[in-house]
Amino acid sequence: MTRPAAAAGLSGAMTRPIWLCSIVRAKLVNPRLSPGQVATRLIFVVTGLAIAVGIYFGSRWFLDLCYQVEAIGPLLCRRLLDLVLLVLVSVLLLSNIVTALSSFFLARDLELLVVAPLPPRSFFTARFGEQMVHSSWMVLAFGLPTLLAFATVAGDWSTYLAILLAVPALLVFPAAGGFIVALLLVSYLPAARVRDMVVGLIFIGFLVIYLLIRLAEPERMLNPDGFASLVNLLTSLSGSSTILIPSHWATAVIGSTFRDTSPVGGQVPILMGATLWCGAGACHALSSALFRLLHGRAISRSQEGRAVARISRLWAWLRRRPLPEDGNIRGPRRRAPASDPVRWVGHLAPRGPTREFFIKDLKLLLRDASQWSQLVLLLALVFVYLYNFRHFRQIGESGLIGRLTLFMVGMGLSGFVTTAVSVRFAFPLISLEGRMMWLLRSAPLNPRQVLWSKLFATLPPLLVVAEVMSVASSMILGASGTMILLGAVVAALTALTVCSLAIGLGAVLPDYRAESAAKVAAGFGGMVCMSVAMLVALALVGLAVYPAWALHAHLHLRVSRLLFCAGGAVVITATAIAVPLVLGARALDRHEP
Amino acid sequence: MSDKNTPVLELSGVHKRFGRFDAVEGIDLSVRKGEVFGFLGPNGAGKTTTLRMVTGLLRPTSGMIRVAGHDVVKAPIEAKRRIGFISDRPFLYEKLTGGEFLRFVGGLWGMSPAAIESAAEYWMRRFEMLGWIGEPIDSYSHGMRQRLLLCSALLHQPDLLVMDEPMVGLDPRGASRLKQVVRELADNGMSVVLSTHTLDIVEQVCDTVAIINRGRIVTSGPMEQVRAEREGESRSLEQIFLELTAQEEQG
Repeated sequence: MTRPAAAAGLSGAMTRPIWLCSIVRAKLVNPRLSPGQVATRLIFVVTGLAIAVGIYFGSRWFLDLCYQVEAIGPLLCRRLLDLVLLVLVSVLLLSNIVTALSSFFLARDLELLVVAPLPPRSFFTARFGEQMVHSSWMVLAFGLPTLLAFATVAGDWSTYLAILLAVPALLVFPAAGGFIVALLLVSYLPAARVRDMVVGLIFIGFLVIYLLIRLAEPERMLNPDGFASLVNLLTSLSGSSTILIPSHWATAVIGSTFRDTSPVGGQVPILMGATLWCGAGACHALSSALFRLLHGRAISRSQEGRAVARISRLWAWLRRRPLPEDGNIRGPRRRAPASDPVRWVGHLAPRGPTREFFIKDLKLLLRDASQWSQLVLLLALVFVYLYNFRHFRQIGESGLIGRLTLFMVGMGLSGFVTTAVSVRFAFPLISLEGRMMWLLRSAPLNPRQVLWSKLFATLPPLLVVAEVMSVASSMILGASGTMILLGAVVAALTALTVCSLAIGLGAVLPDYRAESAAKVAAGFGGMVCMSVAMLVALALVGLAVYPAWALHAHLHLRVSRLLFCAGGAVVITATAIAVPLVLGARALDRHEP
Repeated sequence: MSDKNTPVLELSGVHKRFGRFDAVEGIDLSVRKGEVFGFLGPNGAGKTTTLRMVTGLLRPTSGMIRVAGHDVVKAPIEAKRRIGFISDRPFLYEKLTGGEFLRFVGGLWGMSPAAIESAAEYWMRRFEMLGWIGEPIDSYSHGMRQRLLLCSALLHQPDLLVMDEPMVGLDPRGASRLKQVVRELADNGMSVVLSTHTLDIVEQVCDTVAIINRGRIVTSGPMEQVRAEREGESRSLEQIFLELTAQEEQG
């Protein structure tokens, strides 16, 4: 290409810089999909739609109940809308911080785009729009059905119009806020550490919101006695809803179209709508100005690591450790293995490669905020699961459903949670070694040792989770000692089998190019593993039906039937442990990194 | 293994095929104890594939590879125990510190904690990395990662050190230190196989050289012999390399 031609080509591209930014990113982030990935995405879309429909009908049912409450129904709906929008904006703000960090400071195409002669406004507009879409679509996909339910229950056609007008403007506020926070954070901390920190905070935030809602038991609306405490909760949660919060303006716009309500405090809806849109425009303009002012410097600082030195200086001062004379913070600083707490815990594992893998995996888990925060979420889910199990007992006492059925349902649910946890945490372990395979394959290790090491690291915690859920739920249901024991045995076998399946199939169907454990678990291999593991868990529960029935009814156990059940469980367990591990070891041995 | 002429690495008729593409076609070579063997060739010639077969990362389609008398395919654990490897793609566990990474690697090679500590300190000091031993790897520069890899490969005192493009990312001081270390290691009986595009490093460090092109070795032998075969010792390795690989391209 001659120089003028090249210049013309560049100029042609420059006329569409926004598209250029997006195309470069799309090519890097979304390479060509395999048929398996397309199928997986289709399944996700269908599942997502089903969930959205479920949320719509669930919200509608709940709002109907609220709306019918005498005298305060419409007002309650309005306050609930305020609360929903406030939660939406809060979640979006956190989500936008992480996305802004990725889009503006950590994206793989950033080096290419920063050195390109792109107009700053085009670069900002392209990235800001992308950030808004990436961080909002999921929250919106599940939040919009709730808003539509408000319109159906409390509003009319004008409510849909108000939602259409208010929500897009509302999305700009958390997007701008997220960008500005990310920009300021990166100016003082390395971007990667900020992202880890924020991911952790997001999960804790979700956890708090989830626990608040679950512990409030909104289903107590069915019971008028429980209503007072729910109102208290709503009051306390929406107490911060001042006129200065954008979600309040959106509530004023949407809520003004509700039937049987009047504008709160004489707020004029059109004025509130204008404030919302003007505020959104101002936030965008402010973000754009700050981008032009600070982005170059922030990008540079995020790569310099100066902030690390600043923090290290503060840390050194706090520990009263004299700094080296040459000012090099990274002076000799070695932690003896004996004083390393994780290494100390590692002594629980057998010596050799198993212990080394155990220590290494534990350290990586603790240092990856996206991983440990999900562990916290998991523990909360187990807690909420057990907390809600009390209702099962009440149902059993009412005689609506037999206790035996509830016991079996409990075992099934416990098996489902165990399976989901093993697919999320154990299945990705081999894939996560993808880029380090050069080391594992060149080390004097048998592939079986690698798999055993991973199994050893994941089985004990999974066993604890499964046993806690099984024993606690059996006790809550008031099961006898032998029934509790039966449940515990089934839980142990389930944990053992699904964990082996997850590790073995993780090696048979790996995704060595995935960047995170969540992506591996959500991929094609993860879905196959989930399906197989669920079948195995259900089969084990199915084999426990006869002994559970006999124990529950105080019948004499027939030896032939008992042997059939026990033999079946042994065969299923042995097969589900051996086959995936053998296939996994073979796949690992054949893998050529 | 005390005999200087004992081959530490032997390749006999090694062939590697990827689908319908022959990456390596019938390579025979031998590396003696204490020898530094340079592997040269243009991009895509088969150097990395050969070295990856030696380390057990790739399985040869046919042929035999022995490390210190152990067949890499039939007795991989024994063979790998004697190899130290530096990959051309230095991926590391970003969230571990340098010291933790070395402890992990030492553990995989079955070293005792005391031996790991002592060897890690020695090699990290040799490569001027001791001050960084407690820092996370994600804060290391490319050259520092390369030096950490060198430390990890030397930790268990292998009989054979395999280095694929070890000079990439090293500054002149680091490269000079590496050349010095490689010579010392060879003088103490360790065999070293290295692939590189930096011809003067091969001239300065290697005892024996092999030039590979399109999966075949086009010439090999002691440096002087390779020069002598090409019409006189005054010719530089670069001239020989360009001439041999150009001939192959034309052929």
